[in-house]
Amino acid sequence: MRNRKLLNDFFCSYRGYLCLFLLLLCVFIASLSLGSAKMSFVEFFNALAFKGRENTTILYNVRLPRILSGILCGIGLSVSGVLLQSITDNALASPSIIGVSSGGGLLVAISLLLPTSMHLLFTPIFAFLGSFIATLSVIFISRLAGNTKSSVILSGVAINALLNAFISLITLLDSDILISYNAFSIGSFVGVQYKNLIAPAALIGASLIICIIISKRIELLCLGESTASALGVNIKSLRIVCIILASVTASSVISFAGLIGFIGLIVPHIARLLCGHNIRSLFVCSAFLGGTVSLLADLVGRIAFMPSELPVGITLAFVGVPFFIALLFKKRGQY
Amino acid sequence: MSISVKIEDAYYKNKSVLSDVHFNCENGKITAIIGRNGSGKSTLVSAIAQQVKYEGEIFASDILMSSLKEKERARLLSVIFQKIKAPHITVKDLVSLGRSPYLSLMGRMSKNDLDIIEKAILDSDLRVIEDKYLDEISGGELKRAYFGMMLAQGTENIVLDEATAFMDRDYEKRLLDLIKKTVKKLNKCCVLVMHNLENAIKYADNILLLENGKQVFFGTTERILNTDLIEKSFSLKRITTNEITVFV
Repeated sequence: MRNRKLLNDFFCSYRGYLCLFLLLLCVFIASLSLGSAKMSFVEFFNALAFKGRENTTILYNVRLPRILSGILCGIGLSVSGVLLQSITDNALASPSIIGVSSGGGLLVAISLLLPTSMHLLFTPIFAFLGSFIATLSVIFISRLAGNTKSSVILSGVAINALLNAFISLITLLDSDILISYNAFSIGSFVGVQYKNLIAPAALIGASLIICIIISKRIELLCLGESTASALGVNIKSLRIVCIILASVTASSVISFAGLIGFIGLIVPHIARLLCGHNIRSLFVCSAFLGGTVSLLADLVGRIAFMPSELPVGITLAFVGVPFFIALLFKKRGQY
Repeated sequence: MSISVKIEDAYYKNKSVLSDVHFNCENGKITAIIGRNGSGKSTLVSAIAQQVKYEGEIFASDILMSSLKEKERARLLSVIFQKIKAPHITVKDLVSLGRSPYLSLMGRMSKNDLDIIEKAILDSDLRVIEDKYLDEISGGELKRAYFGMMLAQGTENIVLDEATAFMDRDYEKRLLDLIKKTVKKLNKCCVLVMHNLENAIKYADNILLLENGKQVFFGTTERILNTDLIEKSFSLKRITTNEITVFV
């Protein structure tokens, strides 16, 4: 337990943040230099300096946007996961379980009915609306059902089932949508362009800053709602703010990368092991770790079966499920 | 007078479970709330903390509680509820959270805040366990850690629900002595929900007896002992020897 305290203190400090940042930087450089197009060391540095047309294109127009979307995806989903776990006081809460993802998914499927030219603008808006309404209803139903640890998960399962039925219905109606929705539901960073990333980056960045600012309020929620309220927290408005932030961050990711599971569940748990319940550090560590994990999963998917590649959603599920089961064993009986 | 309660009706899940409760608690005095399970003790605490719907008026330090925002309220009155959580934070972290109502959104603490936290840890005898995590200390230590947080919150009015439930006898005595000492020394106004009748009589200046959501008695401890209300309400017998009162 003594070691645990030292570990937590380390990752709640700037030195800990620096370590995680360096880790992310390593994976970033690896992702930039490795891939199905072979480059020598010299060629790589030349391309970095905009020399050699073909390699420059690969680096700056193929790999870099993909890397940036990977990092952004990890940050967005992890922050969303930390928020949802804090307001529901439930370690199993995550964007995919609470219904944030399937809610966003349903409205994105609907938005695919619109003409292609409108997708860039409307897909993110639809994704946010879907996520927000789904989260709100899950939390509302759970509170009506007694607000216990299991009621959150059960109402999430119920809402998810309903939303997925609607999604199946819509994709049945139109085979074009079935194909594009299939790609969307697996989740991938292939073909993401810089213009798709501007709005999500701004939204996720702003949300993360707000989270870090209000983290001291969120931290009080771990004492339970009554005690937090007696310590001066306006629970109702804090809950709404957190739901909005969780929906914004998760749906921003959904809008460019599709439905990517498990990051929002796994990363907050690893971060919690590292920095304990200090929510401010938890947000910072989750953001760095989320970027690293998602980028690493994408890198593995890209180079494991070269020249063909696995979408990041599949790689993450392969890694995520065993981790999730290990977590269940470790925390035996706590859920 | 510091806490003044005039409740016509208080509701739990839209049902009135408490009605006609009127009492005052003065500074430097302890008021014990006693009553059988389900008599409305915890609902009364929740009403004072403004967490259930009620009709009536509750004043703390002569200020109408329902007119205040959460943060202002938390600077006036602190509450320890019956159900308290033990998240994975250290005892010192918990005590520090007591300063929350005084901090800005960013939560930066001043030298004064840190001094108050140190003093609270010292006064509540938490120094030896300050670095331990809440999920690895005993139930008695956990209650004391929450009391430390209450000291850091530093409000004039304090309310504790079943502060000593499920505690060993020596721990119970230690915490109650600490509460009494604090109340007398800092001239605080204290409302305690108590399950142990002997302790209620020993520590409290005033007693409020609830039965089925109604107030049966409010007055000084001496006055209630001149009646047989406690015996009747709890279906117990009283034995008094050498100035020690026991209910069996």
